[in-house]
Amino acid sequence: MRMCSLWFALLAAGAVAAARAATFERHVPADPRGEVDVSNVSGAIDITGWDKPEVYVKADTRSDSTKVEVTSERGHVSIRVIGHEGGISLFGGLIGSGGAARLHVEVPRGSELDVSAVSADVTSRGMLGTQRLQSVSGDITADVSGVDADVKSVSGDIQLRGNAQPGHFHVSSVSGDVSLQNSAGDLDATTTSGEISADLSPAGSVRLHTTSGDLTVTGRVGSGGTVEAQTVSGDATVRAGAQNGYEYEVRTFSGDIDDCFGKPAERTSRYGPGKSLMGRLGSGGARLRINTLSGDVSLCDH
Amino acid sequence: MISAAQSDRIDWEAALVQRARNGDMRAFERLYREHIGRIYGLCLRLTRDPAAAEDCAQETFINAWRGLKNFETRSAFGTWLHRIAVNVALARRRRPAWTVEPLPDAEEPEEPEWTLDTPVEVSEIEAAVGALPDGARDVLVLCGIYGYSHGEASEMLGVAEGTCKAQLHRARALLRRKLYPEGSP
Amino acid sequence: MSEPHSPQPAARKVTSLRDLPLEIAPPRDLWPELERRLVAGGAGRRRWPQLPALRPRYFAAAAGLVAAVGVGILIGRGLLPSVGGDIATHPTASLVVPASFISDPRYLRDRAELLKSLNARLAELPPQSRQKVLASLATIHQSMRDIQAALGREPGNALLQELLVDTYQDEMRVLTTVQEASAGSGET
Repeated sequence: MRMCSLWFALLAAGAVAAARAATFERHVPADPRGEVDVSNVSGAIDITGWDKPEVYVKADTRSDSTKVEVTSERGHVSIRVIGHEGGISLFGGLIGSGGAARLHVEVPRGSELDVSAVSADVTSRGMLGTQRLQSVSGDITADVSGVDADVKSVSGDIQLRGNAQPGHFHVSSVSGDVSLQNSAGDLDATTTSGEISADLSPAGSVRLHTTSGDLTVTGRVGSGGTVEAQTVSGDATVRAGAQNGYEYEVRTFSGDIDDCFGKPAERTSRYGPGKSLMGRLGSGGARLRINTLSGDVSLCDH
Repeated sequence: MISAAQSDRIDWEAALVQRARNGDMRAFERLYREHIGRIYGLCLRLTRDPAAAEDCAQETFINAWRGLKNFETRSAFGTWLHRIAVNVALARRRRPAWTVEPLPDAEEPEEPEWTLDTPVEVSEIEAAVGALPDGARDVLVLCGIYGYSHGEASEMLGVAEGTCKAQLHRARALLRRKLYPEGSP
Repeated sequence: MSEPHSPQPAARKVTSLRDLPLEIAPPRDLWPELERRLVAGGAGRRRWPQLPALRPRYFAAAAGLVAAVGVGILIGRGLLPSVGGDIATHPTASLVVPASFISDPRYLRDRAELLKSLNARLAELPPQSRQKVLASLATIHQSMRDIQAALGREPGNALLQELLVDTYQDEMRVLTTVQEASAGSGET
């Protein structure tokens, strides 16, 4: 019987490839203000911004059958981890899948960054360009500068650190905590059962929404800025001043209101439990609105 | 006792199986992606031919799709797929898979896991396994590589458990002779 | 046996058959052909029906407006319904709160579609995420019940109306997030 030795070569090659962890490295030239997409299903994604006009990728994979595909075309660099499965559609985009890899990527810090992950933590440091970071169950930790950042997770926590430059931040998690520190500008943050902590100076247009988690807002509201904070059953703590003061309106159905302005909360109903607190601090250039169903509210300008 | 992670995985897979049973092709694709590596590996070792292994793997999933209604969700889906793959691989052989083999003269005690005398290159051991006669190779692949018990392997292969044990013993002897032609180092 | 022709991979040595890998990736993706054969055999649906693209913010705003109008009308008529009634027999039935007082048919249809596929979508999430999403949905629905109970006592309370509308928006956000985050097919 004619021996088909190819089966054996394939077996041996595939067997070794399937079994052994591997390290992948690649440098590609990149536009200093180009686009960089990174996707990985599981493992980790660590992004660092640098000043070189190139992208460096180092990946540690669990097996040789996990491939890292790096393409560079017309100012767009794409990095995908691909296993033996096909693509996964995530948040409206398609990413590679199947393999597990720990990705370390260095990109021009002015790049527009787009990162997608399923069960991978995402870390981004030193980036100055627009960022879109998404993970299903991984945590996201990122430096955000004075540009747009759109960060989304289903169950992971989101921690963002700004550089005091104003930007536009849209942050969403279903059950994770959301934190934005040392930042400025506009923020729209929502989580259902996580906590929200926001520190902005100055705050522009800020909308914070959580159902059962606590809210904490600190910093300074800019002139003409608005801060709207709502939680159904969590507590809300606002320690924010404003250069020209603000108008404030606090409402809770069954919680308590505490403030440092010396003005007592009023009952909204003779028979029901509701309370409200309304007033103006300074000339009132900005606006503060806080609503809760059953949570307590604490408001002060320092 | 299974771990919490294994339990989560079983529940997750059971949900996919249920959806596939209801005609959800995408759920079935997820199951395919999850198991194709093992099924193809098994097919390749049993058929020793890449093209035949591809056909074997496809036939396995086609038969699985058709037989989903008969699958008992309490069992492991992967094991069920393996049974189908073994049936498909055996059915492809033009001659009967098993010829009557004499039992070895002396029985050696069963080793739970056969450790080689010295480290051997993967390519060499795979070639040696592939060179075994069909019956011996089938049992060695299922028991020695994939970890099935004699009872499970005999059920998959449709032979008596005693025959399965004898074939495994024979396979090991042949393999040792192939890997160490001048005796143990 | 003749020696293999293709280049040998870097040598790796093992001391047991159990060290040999169990998984070997086929040289090519077999799914496209497999799927064709399954479909040709009349097997199942090819893909999930594609829902129209949802624009969460627009949708939430529209839902909020409609919800507000709906609640306002029903309050005016003194017809605010209580939670309960025709909860569908659905694996997450205990989490489903009928939006019976929101009258916009498009919102009701899209919400129903999202709830119908919720179990399937949740099954595709990692287990830990799945549990957290279920817990979040339970939190939202409990909040809806709490707010509605409070509205029953104070139907004219603007804060409660606003909280209820926002909570429905929150539910839609979670459902669409799960929809978007669930794994799709191999289209590469």
